Amino acid sequence: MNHSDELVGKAYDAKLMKRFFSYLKPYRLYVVIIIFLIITTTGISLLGLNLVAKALEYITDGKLAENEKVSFLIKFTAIYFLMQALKGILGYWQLYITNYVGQKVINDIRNQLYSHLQGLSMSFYDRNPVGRLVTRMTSDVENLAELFASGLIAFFVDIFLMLSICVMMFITDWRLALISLAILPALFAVTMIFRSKARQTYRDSRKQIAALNSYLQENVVGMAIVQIFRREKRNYDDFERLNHEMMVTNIKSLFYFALFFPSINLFFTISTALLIWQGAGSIMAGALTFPVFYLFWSYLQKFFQPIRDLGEKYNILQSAMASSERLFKLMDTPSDISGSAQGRIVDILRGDIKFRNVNFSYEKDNYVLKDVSFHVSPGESVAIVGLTGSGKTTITNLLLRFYDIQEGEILIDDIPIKDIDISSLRSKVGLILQDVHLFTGTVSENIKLGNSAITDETMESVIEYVNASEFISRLPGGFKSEVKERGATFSVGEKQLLSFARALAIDPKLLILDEATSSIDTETEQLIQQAMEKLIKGRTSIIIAHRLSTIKKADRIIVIHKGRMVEEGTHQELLAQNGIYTKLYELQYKMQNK
Amino acid sequence: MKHFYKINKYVAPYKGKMILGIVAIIAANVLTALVPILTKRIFDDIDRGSMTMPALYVMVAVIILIAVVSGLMQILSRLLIMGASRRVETALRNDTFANIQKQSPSFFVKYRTGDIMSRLTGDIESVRMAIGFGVTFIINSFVAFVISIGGMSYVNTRLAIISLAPLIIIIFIVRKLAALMHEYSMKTQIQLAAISSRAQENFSGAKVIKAFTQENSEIEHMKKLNLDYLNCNMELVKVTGIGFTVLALVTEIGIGVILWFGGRDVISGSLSKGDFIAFNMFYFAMLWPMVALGWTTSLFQRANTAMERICELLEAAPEIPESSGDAATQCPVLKGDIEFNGLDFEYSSGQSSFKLQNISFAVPHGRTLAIIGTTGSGKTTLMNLLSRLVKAPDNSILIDGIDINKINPGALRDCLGVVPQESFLFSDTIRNNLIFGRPDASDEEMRFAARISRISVDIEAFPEKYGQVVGERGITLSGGQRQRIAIARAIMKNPRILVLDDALSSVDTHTEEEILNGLREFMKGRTCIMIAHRISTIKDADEILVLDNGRIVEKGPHQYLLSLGGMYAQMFAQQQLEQQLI
Repeated sequence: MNHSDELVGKAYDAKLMKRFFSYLKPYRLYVVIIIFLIITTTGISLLGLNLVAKALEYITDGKLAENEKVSFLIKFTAIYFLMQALKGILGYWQLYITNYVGQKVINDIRNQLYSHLQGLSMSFYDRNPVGRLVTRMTSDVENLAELFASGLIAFFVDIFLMLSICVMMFITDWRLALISLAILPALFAVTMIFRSKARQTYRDSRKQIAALNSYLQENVVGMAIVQIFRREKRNYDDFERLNHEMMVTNIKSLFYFALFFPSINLFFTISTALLIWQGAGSIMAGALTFPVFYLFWSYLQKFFQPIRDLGEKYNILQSAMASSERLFKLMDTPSDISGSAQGRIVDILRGDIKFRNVNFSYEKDNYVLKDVSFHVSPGESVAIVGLTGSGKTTITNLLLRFYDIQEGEILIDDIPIKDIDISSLRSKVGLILQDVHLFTGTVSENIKLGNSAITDETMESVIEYVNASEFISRLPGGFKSEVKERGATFSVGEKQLLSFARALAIDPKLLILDEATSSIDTETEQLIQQAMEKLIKGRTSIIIAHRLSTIKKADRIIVIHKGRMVEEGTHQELLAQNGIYTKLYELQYKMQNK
Repeated sequence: MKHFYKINKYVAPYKGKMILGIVAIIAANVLTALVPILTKRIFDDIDRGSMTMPALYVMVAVIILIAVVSGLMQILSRLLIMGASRRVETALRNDTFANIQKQSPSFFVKYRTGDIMSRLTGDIESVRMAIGFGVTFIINSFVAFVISIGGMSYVNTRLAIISLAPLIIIIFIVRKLAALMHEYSMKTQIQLAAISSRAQENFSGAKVIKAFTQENSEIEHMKKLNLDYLNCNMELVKVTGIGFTVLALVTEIGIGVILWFGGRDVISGSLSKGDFIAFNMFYFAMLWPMVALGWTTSLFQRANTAMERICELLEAAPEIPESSGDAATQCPVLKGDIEFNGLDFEYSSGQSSFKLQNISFAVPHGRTLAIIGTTGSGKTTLMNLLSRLVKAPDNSILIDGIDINKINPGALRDCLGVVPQESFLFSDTIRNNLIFGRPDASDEEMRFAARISRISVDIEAFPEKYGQVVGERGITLSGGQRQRIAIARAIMKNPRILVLDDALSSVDTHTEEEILNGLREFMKGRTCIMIAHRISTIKDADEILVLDNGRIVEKGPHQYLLSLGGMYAQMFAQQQLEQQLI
C-alpha cells in the first residue's frame, strides 16, 4: 500500500479531459453513432409522453363518440408500444456501442501504458515499487473504465434529456413551464453546495483513511514490537482515536448526503405542487386542458429522474480524474537511457569488450564504479571476484546497458555502447542470473521467452546440450509442463540449468553469468559444471564467480574492490601477488578446495 | 446469511436509533402517499365543478407541507440509520484491531499484512454498506411498494392488478440477471487478475525481459490478455445491457398498459381524470424502489461473505492468552535468572521451518550470554520464545526458576528490553519512538538512553531534534541510526533482562565498541542475552553459545572457544580476514 497514491484530484480538470478525449479520436464514427442514438432515444422518450397526452386529449374530448374514442385509443396505444420497442432496441445499441468504445479506449490506454513501461530503463524500476506500477495498470485504468461505462456518457445523456425537456416545456406552454421550473435555481444552488461540501468531505475522509491505514499497516507489521513493549493498550487508544476521527468526518459528510437525496425529492414535490396550483387554476379558467397538464407532469417526472444519482456519478468522476492524473504522469515519464532510439543496428560478431576509465553511480555522487578499465578479447572468459557490494553486478548491468555511465567509455567490438541500438546489443548477449526469474507459463515458454525465432528443434537441442533434458523429461508434461509460483517446484540447480538453456537458445556472442551461491546437490552440480564449460566455449564470457572451480577455469580473473579494479591475472599469478585476491581466496574459496 | 447475524451484537446499542429511523422511513412514505390522493381530490373536484380557488391554494399548500415533513423524515432516517452504520463500523474495526493485537507471530504468517488490511477496510465497508444503505433501501423499497400497491388498488383495483403484472417480471428479471451478471463479472475479475499478475511478473522480472529483448513480445502478450479482457467485458455488457433495456421497457410497457386499460375506463367514465393522474403517480413512486430491491439483496450477500472474513480475525483465539499464568506469578518482580532446560522446538513460517533441539543453558542474573551462529540456526526463535511471543513447551524455559508459561506475558515483558533484528521504528517523532515502552519517562531519562546508545549526537543534528518525525512521512534514517534508536528504546524500559538480537550489525566497529562500553555500565546487575554475527560484538560475554542448525555445538567464554579450534575459531579467523579487507 502506498499512501502517496492518495492523490485527491479535482472532479473536473479541463486539461485532463482534453487529453482523455483525444483517445476517442480513432472511434469518431462510433461517437457519431452514439450521439445519433442518444438524440433518437431521447426524442422517442419525449414523443412517447406526448403520445400519451394526445391519447388522453382524444378520449376526454366530449365531442367524440365512444367508439371513435376507442379506435383512437387502440391506434395510439399500438403506436406507443411500437415506439417503445424501437426505443428499447436503439437504447440497447446505444449502451452496447458506448461500452464498446469505452472498453476500446481503456484497452488502448492500458496497452499504451504497458508499452511505455516496457521502454523505461532499469533505474525506473529501481525507483518504483512493483505494487505501485501494478496498481496503475489495474485499478487506475479500471477507474477510467468506470467513468466511461457509467459516468461520462450517462452524464451527457442526462444533460441532453433535461435540456430537451426544458425546451419542450417552453414550446408547449411557456407560462406553465416557467412555474414548473421555478424551483430550478434553488435546485442548482443546492447541487452546487452539495458539490463543494462533498468535495471537501471527500478530501478529508481520504486523508483520514490514509492515516488510519498507514497506522494499521505499521501496527500489523510491527506487532511483535508492540507486544514486547506492552503498547497494546496505548496503540489501541491511538487507533481508536483515528478511527473515531474518521467516523466523525464520515458522519459529517453523511449529513450532506442525507440532505441531498431527500431535498431532490422535496424539490420534485414542490415543482409538482406548483404545477398543480397553476395547472388546476388554468383548467378551471378554461385556459388549459387536462392532457396538457398530464404532459407537464410526466415531463417533470422524467426531468427529476437523473438528478437523483448525481451524487454517485460525481464520485465516479472524482476518482477517475485522480486516476487519470496518475496515469498520464506515468506515461509522461521519459526514459533516461539516452539516444537509444537513434542507435545503430550493429551485428555483434566478435564479442570484444573494452571498459575505459568508467565511473558510474546509481545515485548522485555515490560512485559504485571508480575508474574501471579492462579489456576482454573475443572468446576469452573472465571471472570477476570481489566482496558483496564491490560492484561486480554493476559491471554486468552496464554491459547490457541497463544504465548509462557518467564518465568513461564502454566499447563493444570497438563501437561505443551508446551508439549501439539497445535491442541489437541485448539480442547478442546471453544473461544468466543468480536468482533465476521464471515466469508463469510452460517450461518451453520460459526457455523461448516469447522469441518466435527459436524453433522447437533449437530448443530441444539446447536443452539436451545443457544437460537439462533429463529432469525436464521427468516432468509430467515434459517441456509443456506449467511452471508454478515462480518455479517453486524446481530445485535451484534445475532452475540454473533452465536459465542456461534460455541463454543458449539465442546463441549469444557474449555471455554474462552470475553464478548461483546457494548450495546445489553434487549430482546437479556436476551437470552444471559440464554445461557451463560447453556454454563458455567459443564465447566471450564474463562470470561473476562464487566457486573456486569456475575461477580456476577462467582465462583471467579481475578483482574488484570497493568499486575499483585492483588486481588482474590468472589464479596462480594473483595468489603469488599475495594481495586482496589472496585474502578473498582464503575467506571465500579456500574451503572449497578439498 | 449465517455470518451476517454476528453483527447483531454491534447493532444492539443503536437499536433505538435504528427503529426510530425505520419509523421515519415508514412515516415519510405514508405522507408521500397523500400527494396522489390530494391530487385526485383536486381534479375530481374540478370535474364536478366544486373546486374553488381558495380550496386549491389550501390543497397545494398541504402538498408542499407534506413534502417538507416527509423530506425531514427522510433526512432523519438517513442520519439515524447511516449514522448508526458508521458507529457499528468503527466499533467492529476497533474490536478486530484489539484481537489482532493479541496474536502471535504465526498469526501474521497465516494472514499477511495486505490480507489483514483488506479485511479491515474493504470487508468492514461491505458490512457498513449493508447496515446503512442496505437497511434504508430495503425498508424503503418494501414500504413504498406496499403503499403504492395499496394506493393503486384504492384508485382502481382492476387496473392495479393489470399494471402490476409487468412489474412482477422486473423482480424475476432482476434476480435472474443479477445471477448472470455475477457470473460474468467473476469471469472479468479472473481476466483482470491475469492482467495484474502478468504485469506484476513483468515488472519484477524487468531485468530478464530487457536482457532478452522481450519487450515487444511482452507487449503483444499483454495486448492479447487485454483483448480477452475486453471481450469478457463486452459479454458482461451484453447481459447488463439487456437487463437495463428490459427494465426500461417494462416500465414503459406499464405506462402503455395503464393508457390502454385506464383509457378504456376513462372513456366509459368509470375512471376520472383525477384517478388517472393519481394512479400514474403511485405507479411512478414504485419504480425506483423496485430496481433498488435487486441491488440491495446483493449488498447483503456481499456483507455476509465479508463478515465471515472479518470474524476470522475477530474471533481468532490467541496462542498465548493475555491472562495466562498463575495468579501467584501474575506480577512477580523478576530477578532475571534464565534457564533453558532441554528445549525442543519446531517453528514453521510459510515453507521454511526451523528446529531447535535440546537447548540447555543457564544465565544467572547480572551475567551476559551471547549466541552466535549461521543464519537460519534459530537464534531469533529463541528471542521470540523468551518474550513469550510464541509458546514454549512446559518447563523448558524457566525465569527465576518459574516455568515461563506460568508467568503472565505482560508481567514478563515488563521486565524485558528487546532490540529486535529488524529495528522497526514507527513513523512518529524520535521522542515517541524512544519512549515507546515508557510513555511516562522524563526527558532526562530519554537523553540518558540516547547517550548510552550513541545516538544523541545524531539526534541533535536533526532539524527538529527529538521532535523529528522519522519513516514514511519524515526523514529516512540509516540502518545504524535505526539500530541505535532501537537500543535506546529498549534501555528506556529499564529492563531486568536485555535481549539484543543482532542489534549492532549495521553500526561500524568503532561505534560498536563505544556502545558496548556504554552498555557495560548499564548492564551491571542485569541479565543480558546478545545474539550476533560478529565476534567483536560478543567476545566479552561471560558465556558464548555457538548454534548450528538448531543445536548448541560449542559453549564457553571467548578464549576457551578459540582454543577449541572448532567452528567458533574458524568464524573468528574468517572475520579477522574480512576486517582486513574492509
